[in-house]
Amino acid sequence: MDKLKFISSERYYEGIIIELTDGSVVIDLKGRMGQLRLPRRMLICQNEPKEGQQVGLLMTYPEVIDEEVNQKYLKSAKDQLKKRMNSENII
Amino acid sequence: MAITKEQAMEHKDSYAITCCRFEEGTVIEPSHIEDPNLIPDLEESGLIEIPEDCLKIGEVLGAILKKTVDALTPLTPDLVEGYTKLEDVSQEEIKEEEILVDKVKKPEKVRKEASSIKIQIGEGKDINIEIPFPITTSSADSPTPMVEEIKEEKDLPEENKLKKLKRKYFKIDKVEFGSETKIDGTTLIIREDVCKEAIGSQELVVDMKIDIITPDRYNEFSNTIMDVQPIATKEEGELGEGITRVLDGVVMLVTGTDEAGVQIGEFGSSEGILEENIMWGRPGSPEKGEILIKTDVTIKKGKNMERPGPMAAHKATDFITQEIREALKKAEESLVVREEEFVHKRRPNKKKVVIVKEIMGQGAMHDNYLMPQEPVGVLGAKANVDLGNVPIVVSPLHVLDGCVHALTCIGPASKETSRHYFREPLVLEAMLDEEIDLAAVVFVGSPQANSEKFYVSKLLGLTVEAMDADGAIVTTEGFGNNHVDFASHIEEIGKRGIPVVGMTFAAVQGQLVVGNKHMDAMVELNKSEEGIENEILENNCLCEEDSVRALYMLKAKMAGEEILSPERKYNKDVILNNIRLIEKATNRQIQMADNETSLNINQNKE
Repeated sequence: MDKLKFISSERYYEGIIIELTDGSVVIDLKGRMGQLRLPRRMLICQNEPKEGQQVGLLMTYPEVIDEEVNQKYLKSAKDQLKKRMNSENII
Repeated sequence: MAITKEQAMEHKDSYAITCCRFEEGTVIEPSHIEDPNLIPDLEESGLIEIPEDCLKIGEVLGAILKKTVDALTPLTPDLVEGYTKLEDVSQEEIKEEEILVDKVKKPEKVRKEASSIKIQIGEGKDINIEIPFPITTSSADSPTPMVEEIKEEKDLPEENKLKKLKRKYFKIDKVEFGSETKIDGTTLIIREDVCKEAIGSQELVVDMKIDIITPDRYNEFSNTIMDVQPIATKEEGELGEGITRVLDGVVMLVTGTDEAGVQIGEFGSSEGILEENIMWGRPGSPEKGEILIKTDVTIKKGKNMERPGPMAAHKATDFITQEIREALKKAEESLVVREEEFVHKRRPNKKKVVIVKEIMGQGAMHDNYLMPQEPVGVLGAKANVDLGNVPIVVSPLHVLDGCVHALTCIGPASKETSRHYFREPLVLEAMLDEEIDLAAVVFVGSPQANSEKFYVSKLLGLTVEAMDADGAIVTTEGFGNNHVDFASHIEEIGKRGIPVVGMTFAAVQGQLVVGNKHMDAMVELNKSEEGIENEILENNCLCEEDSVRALYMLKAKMAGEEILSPERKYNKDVILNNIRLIEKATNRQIQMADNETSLNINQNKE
């Protein structure tokens, strides 16, 4: 965490739940700011969540903390993304 | 943010900072004071700087402002008229520390009664990370519990043996395929076409391969590890008692993807080179040198995030394990290489302690099969999600006999695998601790919605209350919304006057999202350098060192000792310091667990 130069610059975002599975939730950020794909356990909700519900969160900007490229991670994450797109899951 | 009268009394020794602008001549009331819980944040962000002569809340209440002040002004003597000087608290603290140091020097006195650590905490609601900071040992000076114990000893037996569980280990140093599943000396032979039948047993499973990973193949790629399971079967008695046969030197490893190649498992998946992705030797991981029977299950496309998908992968693997169990039942008695006996003793004249283990129950792979017929099996078990995540009470021996078949695919570094429960260090440590009476282990699931979380939490409070427990330890795995009910469990137990200690991975990434006044004794499970979920299997899971800290912290709390407030940020030194203090007081060497820095990880290798 000490690697961040712009720490505690979080601000309020809103989004819509656009997909729910037994294990995951996909949130589309309002303002065409992208999407978040998260494990269900990262979502706090009063009742069972539903697709179409709005969420709010504080979020900050990602900062590059290391100039070095992590090839192994990159390859594995890209492969997974391609495979996911090929499966019936969103994103 | 102004505070109430009650908060002002609670925080009378905290610095008095104004919460808004106030005019000259104002009589200072609690509603003029900023919440002391926010002060450290304000100080850290540079919004306020507290001068040395800043007055305390208890000193300024009822006094009059001499000048008009802005919001967030620390009140100093030159701004306030008619304040009452309180005794210098810092002096008292120093004094106490001196006494404590003195106590540490006398270990013989410590041994007399429950050796425990003295911990202090300033009550707080701004709990981000809470880390224990024990200062000393000994509760021997507290006269009341001593008297009680002497009285009770006359009527109650020292120890009651409840149940025994024996494990017989069968050494395996070679695993190969053959025409029939059997144990031949120290060789395990697995039937060649068992896979075909296992695939056929599950509608969602389209393919499965078994791979025998010997230590020379630890450097090979594997899909994400969904579970590590011991291979064990009942020889005599039901689960949790009698005799269990266990294969030594070999474990099952469940891995898999869907047809499209998407890893089954949540998000942080641990696919990659085995030796770089496993924190070897943790209670829940394989030991270096063991043979891994790895199933690589392929389930139907897109089913990796739906509950039946991961369940099918586990059931298909268990189809094979069950066949090995049957062979193990038939193995020659002469092949037993060693035996281990666990005895659950009740100690009626000691403090009754309950261990509460919060397990995942949000759905999909956030689930666990409970109470199977065979150790870590599937047959006869019910998923905690189907049981409504309500508290389930079992004996410590049930836990050690594999009453949990874990499906939890939360971040690999903090998920508790099936093998973790089979070798649960907190249960083992508490069972052997002669200073407490370990009554039971309670499993409680963590549902998705808050309304359900509070429902199960309430039931847990009632369960622990009905047990007449003197103390409880609540553990959880992973982080996320499970911390909401984790906090609520601690509150439900704590508000009933039962001392409670919490154990979780928090550190940097998993900081608690909520807190309450009963969460004043917390044990950090993080082992990673950065304090994050680093995708290395079992890295941040509960180990022996954590169990020892939790038990000594609970003993201190049960003895009425105060607890020191946590530091503002995760600091590994606090953990090390506590371990040293316990070692010094008990003359016991506590083995600290390695972390990922002991692995040889090359991030550029493809």
